[in-house]
Amino acid sequence: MKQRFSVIMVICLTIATGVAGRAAFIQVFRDPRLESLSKRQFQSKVLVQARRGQIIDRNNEPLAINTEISSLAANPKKIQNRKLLARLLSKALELPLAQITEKLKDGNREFVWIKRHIPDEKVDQFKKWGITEPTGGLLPGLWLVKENIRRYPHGELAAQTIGTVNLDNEGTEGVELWKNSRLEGKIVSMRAIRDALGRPTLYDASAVADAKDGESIQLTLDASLQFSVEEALKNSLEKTKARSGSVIVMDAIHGDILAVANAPTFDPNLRGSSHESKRNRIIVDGYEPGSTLKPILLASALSNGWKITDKLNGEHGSIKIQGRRISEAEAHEKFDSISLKKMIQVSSNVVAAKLALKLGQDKFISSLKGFGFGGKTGVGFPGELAGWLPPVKKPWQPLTLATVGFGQGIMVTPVQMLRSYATFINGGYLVEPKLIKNDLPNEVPSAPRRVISPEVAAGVVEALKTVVDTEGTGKKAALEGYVVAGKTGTAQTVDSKTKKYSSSRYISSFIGFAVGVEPKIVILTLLDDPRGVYFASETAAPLFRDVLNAVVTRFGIPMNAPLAKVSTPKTTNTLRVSQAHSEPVSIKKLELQGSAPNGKLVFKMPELRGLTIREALNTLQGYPFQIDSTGTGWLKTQSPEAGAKVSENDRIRLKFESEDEAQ
Amino acid sequence: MKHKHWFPKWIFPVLLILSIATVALRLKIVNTVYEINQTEKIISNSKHEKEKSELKIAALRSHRRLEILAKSQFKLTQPTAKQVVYLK
Repeated sequence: MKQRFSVIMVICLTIATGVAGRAAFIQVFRDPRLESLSKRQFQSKVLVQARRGQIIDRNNEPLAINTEISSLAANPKKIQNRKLLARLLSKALELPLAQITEKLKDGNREFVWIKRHIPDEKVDQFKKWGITEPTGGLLPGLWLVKENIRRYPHGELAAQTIGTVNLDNEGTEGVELWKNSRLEGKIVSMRAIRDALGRPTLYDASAVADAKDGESIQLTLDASLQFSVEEALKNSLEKTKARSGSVIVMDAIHGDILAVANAPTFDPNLRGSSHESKRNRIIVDGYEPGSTLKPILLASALSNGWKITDKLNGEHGSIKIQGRRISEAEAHEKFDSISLKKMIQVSSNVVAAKLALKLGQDKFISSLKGFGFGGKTGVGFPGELAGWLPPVKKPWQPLTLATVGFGQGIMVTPVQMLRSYATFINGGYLVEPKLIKNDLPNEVPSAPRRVISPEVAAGVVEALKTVVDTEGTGKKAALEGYVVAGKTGTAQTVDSKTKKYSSSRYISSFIGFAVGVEPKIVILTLLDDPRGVYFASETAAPLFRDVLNAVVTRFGIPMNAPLAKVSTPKTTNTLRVSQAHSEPVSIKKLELQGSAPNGKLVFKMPELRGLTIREALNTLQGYPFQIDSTGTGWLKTQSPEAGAKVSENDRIRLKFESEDEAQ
Repeated sequence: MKHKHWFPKWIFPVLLILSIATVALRLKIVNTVYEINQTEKIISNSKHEKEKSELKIAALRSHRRLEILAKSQFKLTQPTAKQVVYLK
């Protein structure tokens, strides 16, 4: 008995020694496999997401902000009834059933996005569709992830400049792309110890400190001026029916770009806009400048000893060079001997061609290059074009030199043209245009360089002032109370099919400034393919006037020219409110219900039935709706119905019927 | 005959105190970490609320919105040339 007990004891001791030895071995010696198992069980990887920096204007007005939004994710492995869940999700999220079924099909996957960026209203409806449990949580296998989403509170304002981001908040266009590395901040991946429920608890504090939110980017744009400029451009596009248009406003001394408007435009809050509408045309598109290049030719001539009073013969409206006829823009323009100043005022192609030939290729090219043509401006915006000058490896043909003289056969960008005009009012310095106000030290634009003397600049301004005179081509650019100088340009464009100059498509532009005021601001307006009267004098010049009006109003620039005598309205000590109304006050006001998540205003549709056409349209006057009205008489049916929500740009259909029709 | 212990008697209370102190310290650490987490969550929520408010303020004072309201709710229009009085 005793012997048997001893044997059992020995066996037990041996086993215990073995277990203790193994335990000691595991504890003392390293085993990579066990280490990784332990890490997987007790540690988890946590991504500390940095907040994307804001984009603000020069007065700290936010143009791009982040906000939180929910995204729905699923673990197909943990879902019990995939078919039913797919059907419920399809209804709740308004997604095709096949798409959700496909996502939930793969039972081996542990993570799949069902839908990113779901509006709060839809999340609130999950209970209604039975996607939540009685306890309030989502059904097993589903969870909501909080994500940051980029919002643009001003909608279309400066959309092409600000740009867009993708679903993962990475910049894809504009400043969002250009300054992505500064905006996105630093994302840190670190290990955290998990508690019993798998929640990360003990963080690595030093790693958390490494995570850094993105920097804010301050633009040189002025949001208020930007809005006025965009409104002016929109109105001009409606009037001229142009295919597209652009406006730039720049501080001629510092190179700060104060407004950049492009139309058609897009709302960066909405996905799926065309690439065409996203292009920042003033920087990434080139065009032939036409007559707006003549002041550069004049500056070149004045720098080489010519005077603005020097005369050249206008050859009665046309001249033949290498067998090709160069004529004035309009057949009735038949000039004899005219001064260089007059050449600018009347925009003579013949005199410009002759001046270019007399000046010679070397001097003219040197001036063009000096003004920065054929090279990037240094604004730094992605996709900037350098423009194009005819190659100088072999001498230019006289015809080439002559046509470049009046702005054809050369490609420039609007921003290049604008900065070349800035030299005329800043004393002859070529500045680097600037879109970012808080640039890093290594990104600061280089110092302006002198390209023309102050005397030459003053001479060109003198000539440009005559353009806006009553006899000049740009008289519609004049703004009462200010001395305005500038130049019109109506350039032919090349037809992409025939590869020849089109006889029906033109680019009309005007570049100019108010003289003798502070701040010194230069403006470019450009309309591509205006219909009907396409001349810049009738299209781009009036747009310039509207933009200049917005500029002087925004910066409170005092007038410096005598006003024409206008009949002053009688004023009394009492303010007459009715003076503010051009139309009688409408019968009903629409109730404002707030703003949609995309920033659009939402109104309550009023009851309009029974109103006459005038009454109904008066009620809707000023609201941002698209109105379709048919018939005459009294309003019989309206869509949407009274009480329904109606937001900006929604279509409102009104059907009127006269009493006879009703019977 | 008196049985002689091979370790001193005071070791038991010392070990007990050390064990309790270790557990208490561990609990305190866990508690502090949870508190830090809660505070971080509050900070994060506050940041989001701030961003939401900024967005709302920016949207409310957006020029486009004010223009629409001026034209629609108050029926204001741009003054005509005759309505403008120049002050010298």
